[in-house]
Amino acid sequence: MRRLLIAGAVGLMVISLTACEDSGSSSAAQAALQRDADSWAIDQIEKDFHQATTMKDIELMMSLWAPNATFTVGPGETATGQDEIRRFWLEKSIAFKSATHWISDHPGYKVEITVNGDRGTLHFECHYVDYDTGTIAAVTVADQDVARIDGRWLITNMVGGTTTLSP
Amino acid sequence: MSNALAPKQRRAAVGGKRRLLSRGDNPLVRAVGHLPANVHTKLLIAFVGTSVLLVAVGLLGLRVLGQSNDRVASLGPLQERAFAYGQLQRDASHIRALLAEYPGRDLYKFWTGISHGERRDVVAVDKAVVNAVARFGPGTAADRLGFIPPPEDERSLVRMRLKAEHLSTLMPRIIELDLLPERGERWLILRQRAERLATDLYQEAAVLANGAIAQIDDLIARNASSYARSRNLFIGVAVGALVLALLLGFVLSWSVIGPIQGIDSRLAAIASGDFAGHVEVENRDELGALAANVNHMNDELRRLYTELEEASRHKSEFLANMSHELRTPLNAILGFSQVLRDEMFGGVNDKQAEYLDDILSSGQHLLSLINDVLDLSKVEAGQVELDVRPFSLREAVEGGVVVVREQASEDGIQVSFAADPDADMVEGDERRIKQVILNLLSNAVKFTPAGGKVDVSTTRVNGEVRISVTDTGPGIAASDRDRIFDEFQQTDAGVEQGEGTGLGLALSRRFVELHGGRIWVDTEPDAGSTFVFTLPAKAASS
Repeated sequence: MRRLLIAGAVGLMVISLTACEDSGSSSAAQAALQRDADSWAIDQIEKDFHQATTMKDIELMMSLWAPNATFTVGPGETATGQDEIRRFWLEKSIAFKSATHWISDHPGYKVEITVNGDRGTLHFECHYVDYDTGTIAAVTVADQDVARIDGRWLITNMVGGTTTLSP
Repeated sequence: MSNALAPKQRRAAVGGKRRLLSRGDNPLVRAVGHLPANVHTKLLIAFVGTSVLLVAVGLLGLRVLGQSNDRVASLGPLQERAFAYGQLQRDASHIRALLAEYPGRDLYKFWTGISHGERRDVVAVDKAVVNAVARFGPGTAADRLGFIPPPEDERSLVRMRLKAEHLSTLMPRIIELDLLPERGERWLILRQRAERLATDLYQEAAVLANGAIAQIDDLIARNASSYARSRNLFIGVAVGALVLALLLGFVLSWSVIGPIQGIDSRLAAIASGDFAGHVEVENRDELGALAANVNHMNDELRRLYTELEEASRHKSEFLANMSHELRTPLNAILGFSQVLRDEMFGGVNDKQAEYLDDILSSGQHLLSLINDVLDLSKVEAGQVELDVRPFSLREAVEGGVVVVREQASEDGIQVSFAADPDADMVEGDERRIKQVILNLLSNAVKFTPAGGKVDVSTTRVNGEVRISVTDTGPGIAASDRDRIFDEFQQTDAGVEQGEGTGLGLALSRRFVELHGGRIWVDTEPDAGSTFVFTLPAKAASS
């Protein structure tokens, strides 16, 4: 009987402690770890982006975009949705032309990533090197909104710009 | 005493099969019974305990509701902040998009498929940027936001304000260069700075907006998680409370019912004459005291019963001995009186003959009484052994009818007998059964007035043989029906007649019951009587 009473008391104590437990979610350490994991996943977008333009891999490129993403370049040139963006890359970008022999390079220290929950931003600079001539063919920048959709980080909006080659 | 195992022995006997929730002998029930408190206190503790559990569940529910309410309350300001920051993000995006309308030359090298803008368009768009930036800066102030931003947000807002001011100083210089025929490297560098500032504005605003949305998402997620946890906890506590209440109810009820059942069984055994056992109740409450008193009563009754049995045995032995001692000289009296009455040793005068008849009559009556007492004593002393063998019930009844018919004829009573052929041969002690039949017939003739009749019949009913003696006598009052089968009990009519000893029906019942049968009377006052006795199927064969 005494053992049963002790067991009952312990059970009630466990229930009480569970009830009094802080209802906050993950700890700060877990949150920091999650942020690092998200930053790494967003950084992976930038790497895949340059690999896709260098290798002319349109499927890899399109795997980086959300279904209803928007992409703005130049005066009034905005593509919406996967199909338009795919055509945009294939028809209007020199990088995907067969005669183009460019390597897409990028200074890693200029990459800027922010993460807040399931949303973030990504900024990077692109240096396109013509490996036939050994010269830099073009220097561009891209500002992107990214979001975690079904567990994957994807581009939801991108605005292309320009810059001069500088440290 | 053989069935009265000690508690330890009983527990050992059932130990292998004992379960926690077995009803009687389980440790919980015994432990509750052992508690040194009365039943009232135990019940009170159980009810208070159950009530405390219910209150705990209620308090828990209130706490869960309070937490949920706090989260919902904090959601409103957060949504307001997310909306305001979202507006800033959209404004910054607008500025950045306007500046991207006319990007630098390298973009056209990359995007060969897009068309170049016109010069006047550049000016118009850049003026639109100026207007947008002019609106953006004040939009970061608290009065325009509609709330006081947290300190960490305020730092971002200050940075955005400074960058917007920087951009607003940069744009007029760009517009001046827009109008030149050759814009040159200077124009491009200024545009790059402007785009960088616009990108920074956008990123700062996006961080604020995304941060607020993330906080909302986190709050909603925490709310959902907390709800699930609270629901599970609530269900767990409720189920626990229910189980505990059921366990309390079970244990308490069986700590009361178990002893009551034990006491009830013991009382039933006592009522049936079994004083061998004791009821074992380990409770230290009123039920334990009650069981102790029952055991004390059992012991006292056993002592009295033993004494009574001893006294009864002595009485029976005495009666049997006395009956034997009385019958021996009485037989001599009757025999010599009969010799004198038969004038075997010389004649007697009328007066002497009359006195001899009185001696013979009284002697016969006394002998009959002594014989009945002797029989009854033998039965009570267990000394009667039935001589069971098949005999003709019809012949036995006819013999009885013959004996009473003469007296019946003298009294003007008609005696008839209806025999069922299926109820002829039976097994039993013929002499005792004849004694029963004769007793019933004698009573019937004795109490039936002149002109009446006595009907005797035998039948087979449901495997039993049933013998009925019906008379048209005065009947028997309801109050006398049961006691006439007891020793020395007579109806008022029997007492008035001054005949009989009150032992005939008692003996008849004993003999019938020794055969495993029953005897009873169906009668109503002034409507005659029917005495019936049965012989069971196992003792009957056709």
